[in-house]
Amino acid sequence: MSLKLTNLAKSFGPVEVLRDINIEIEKGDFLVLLGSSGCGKTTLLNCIAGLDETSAGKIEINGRDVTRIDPSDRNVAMVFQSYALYPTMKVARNISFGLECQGVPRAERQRAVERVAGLLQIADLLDRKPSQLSGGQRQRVAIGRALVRDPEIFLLDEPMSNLDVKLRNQMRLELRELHGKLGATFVLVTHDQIEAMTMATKVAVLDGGQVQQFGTPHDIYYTPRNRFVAEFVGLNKMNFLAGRITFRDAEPAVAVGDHVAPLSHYVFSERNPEEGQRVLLGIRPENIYRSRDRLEGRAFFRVERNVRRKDMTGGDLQVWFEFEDQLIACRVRSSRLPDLEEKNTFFLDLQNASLFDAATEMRL
Amino acid sequence: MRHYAHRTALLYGALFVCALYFLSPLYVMLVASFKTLAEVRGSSIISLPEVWTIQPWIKAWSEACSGLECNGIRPYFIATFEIAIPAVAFSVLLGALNGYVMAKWRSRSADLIFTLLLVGSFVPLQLYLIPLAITLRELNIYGTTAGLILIHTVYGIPLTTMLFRNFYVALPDELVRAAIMDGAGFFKIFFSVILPLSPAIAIVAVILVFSGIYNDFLFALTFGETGKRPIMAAVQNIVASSYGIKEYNVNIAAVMISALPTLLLFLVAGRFFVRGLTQGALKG
Ligand SMILES: Nc1ncnc2c1ncn2[C@@H]1O[C@H](COP(=O)(O)OP(=O)(O)OP(=O)(O)O)[C@@H](O)[C@H]1O
Ligand SMILES: [Mg+2]
Repeated sequence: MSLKLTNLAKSFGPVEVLRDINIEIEKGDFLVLLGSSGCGKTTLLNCIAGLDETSAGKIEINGRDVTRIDPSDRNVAMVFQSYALYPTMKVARNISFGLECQGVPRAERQRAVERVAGLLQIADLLDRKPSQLSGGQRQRVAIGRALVRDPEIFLLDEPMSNLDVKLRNQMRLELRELHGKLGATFVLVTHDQIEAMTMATKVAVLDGGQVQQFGTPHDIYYTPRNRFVAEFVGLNKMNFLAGRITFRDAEPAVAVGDHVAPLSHYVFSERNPEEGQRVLLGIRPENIYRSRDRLEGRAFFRVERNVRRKDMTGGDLQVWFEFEDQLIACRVRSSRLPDLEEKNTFFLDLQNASLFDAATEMRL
Repeated sequence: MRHYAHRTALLYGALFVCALYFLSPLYVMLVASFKTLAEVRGSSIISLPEVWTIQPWIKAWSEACSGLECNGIRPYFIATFEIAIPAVAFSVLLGALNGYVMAKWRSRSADLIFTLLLVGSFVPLQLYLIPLAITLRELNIYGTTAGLILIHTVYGIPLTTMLFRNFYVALPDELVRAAIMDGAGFFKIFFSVILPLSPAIAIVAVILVFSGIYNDFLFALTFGETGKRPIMAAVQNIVASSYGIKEYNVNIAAVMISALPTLLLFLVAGRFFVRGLTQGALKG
């Protein structure tokens, strides 16, 4: 166990920002804290770092209770959202300042700086001031400053948010590589779910100061615990169909309008559903096809509808059709793109669909 | 185009007249200080000296009498710097430290203290006289250089605190947080991270505090050491010296000398002064 948060809570005066946070990750995990702006990601990171005092709960790092321990004694390093490089110091001193504070001798500091500069390919920047660096270079220096102290846990607060798309993709790769090389624990904050899914070994989806779901990217994507997570995660927004549970020969099935499909494959998380229970059936646009090729042995809905809308996003096309008074998105991969108002047959694959209780919006 | 040329000419004309108006007393004083006493009395105040002499300046500097002592204003000049330099240094440094605490280590009492400081700096000086006299007497530094240093240090702190606080508030908190993560303590952060960012505002503080101390008359007169009074009190004493004939040219030279340091300070550092007031801490 590398980092363990138990019932963590944080309030600023009367404002409760974090509540009941429970997270546990192993050494070498890459935890991504995912959530929209203002949900408390930075606050949680600051609590782990010790920059903000928690109101309740416990923080353990490497099995040691650090809840009341100074930030610099927690063996964590942080990369700040705005980088926060020291403006008056050259890059080399920016990187070695932490060592300087620990009283590490000059020669040793120098060696450490060289090691880090080699790792991040910033050796030629060491004599510059932060104001003479580009955004991407500043970011590397900020990472270098964290790296040099060889911490147990790296905390990164939206490190890519100030970079352009190309650089961002490059830094993502580099960061992942770095993570692999160091074998240390990373905790990264982002509101970008693609970033979360591509980088994480564990994801904690935050909303309203609470962990909505904590698990592997696979868990989060395929078995979202509630409607919020289902909607938040995924390249294209999940479709939600209002339906109800019905039983056929004691086997549960889901009915949407006149369409009924068996749920024999579906793993209900707790107890079995009841006859007539109102549900939301969540289907991702990428699980709606225009041919039945891969549907062998699977449950699905088949509908014939006219195409109502088309959206082009990069190489991706989404078409929309009406189903039970609702516009449903379908991702189209084939080279022949349908025309507007053209009649198509759509197959709604239920293999990876999610069911939520209509009232509580929790996964069934 | 012609229209604009007219307006520009008019503008410059008006400015020229204004400049002339403001500079004329300086001119009168300047020429008078280079005239012999007989000429000062006999000639028009705007005529140039017939015989140029720097005697009045020399006399003002080292021979003019203040009370019974006739050493010119030189000793007072030096005494003023003996007070101003430490007092400026202390109040600027302490103000920077205060501002750092108030801006970056916000505690619940910080805003209250800041408000009190502000209010304190608006209280009329005269109200302080008696409490100060008692305090200095209790501390056994009444009528000494140390006493005046203390007064000016304390009196400068609200101003410097306000300047530095407002300057530091604009610095990102993450800078301090990063340093905390790096294991830097309170003073290490101040001296290694914060203070190096502060030259611009420090110059503003030095100019304001120095000219305040230099121009001080009330405290100098009340608490100054006899024979070692700060410059403003001394100049007043020389000019008002009652026996003998009034040597206007010498008096004027004394006044001019006493005005030089602040004038020079503004000429040399004025550029930085404006920059410090208008530019935040982090450029680019
Ligand atoms: N010092 C504070 N006092 C009061 N409220 C605060 C304080 N700091 C943060 N908050 C509140 O806590 C909530 C979470 O803030 P936080 O900075 O953690 O959000 P975030 O998830 O990092 O957002 P973003 O993605 O925009 O950076 C916000 O609603 C914010 O207004
Ligand atoms: Mg944030």
